Amino acid sequence: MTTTQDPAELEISPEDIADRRRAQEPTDRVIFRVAGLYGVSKESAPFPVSRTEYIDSGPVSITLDPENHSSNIGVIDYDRRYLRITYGIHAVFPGIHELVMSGKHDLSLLGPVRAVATDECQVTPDMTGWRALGCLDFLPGSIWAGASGG
Amino acid sequence: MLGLREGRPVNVAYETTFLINWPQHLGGGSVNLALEGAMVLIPALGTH
Repeated sequence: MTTTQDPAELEISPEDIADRRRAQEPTDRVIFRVAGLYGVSKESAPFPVSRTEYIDSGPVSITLDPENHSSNIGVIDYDRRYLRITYGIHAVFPGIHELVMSGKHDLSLLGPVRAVATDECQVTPDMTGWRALGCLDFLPGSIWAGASGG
Repeated sequence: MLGLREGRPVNVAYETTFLINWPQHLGGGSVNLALEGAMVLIPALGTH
């Protein structure tokens, strides 16, 4: 047995088809994961340890956070040379060790600092990297938990 | 980064400056932290 369908019942109208034709083609994008990273700061930065005390961090070194399995992903849009990437980091610096040696702070809060970084920017014209103003959100477990910004 | 489009891992260089806002229990305020380094990126879901 066959049935016929009233054209009026069809969900796609000529106007819908025209709209689809006018829609832009999907952009040339690739989603990727961060398999590894390192980073260093050339200059020291003042890190507060209380409302009134600061330490000099010394050069900060970062690597991929081995405990963070949900970040470390990004997308690049080749048409716009646009990049957005989120990555979990472990940060260590001489100032942490000085705090440990001072004996004045809870040692459980003086391990590697965990944070999630987000960069959103244009990639360089030669497509070999990027320069960004990023967001950095410090995770629980260190003195600086709750610090954030961008 | 063109290699990602072809399904290959790539090594890239980055420079990022973070403005960090300290929580109030640490006195508030902010500091700039500039980091530079390198990453290894691998395609996750292919080209869209």
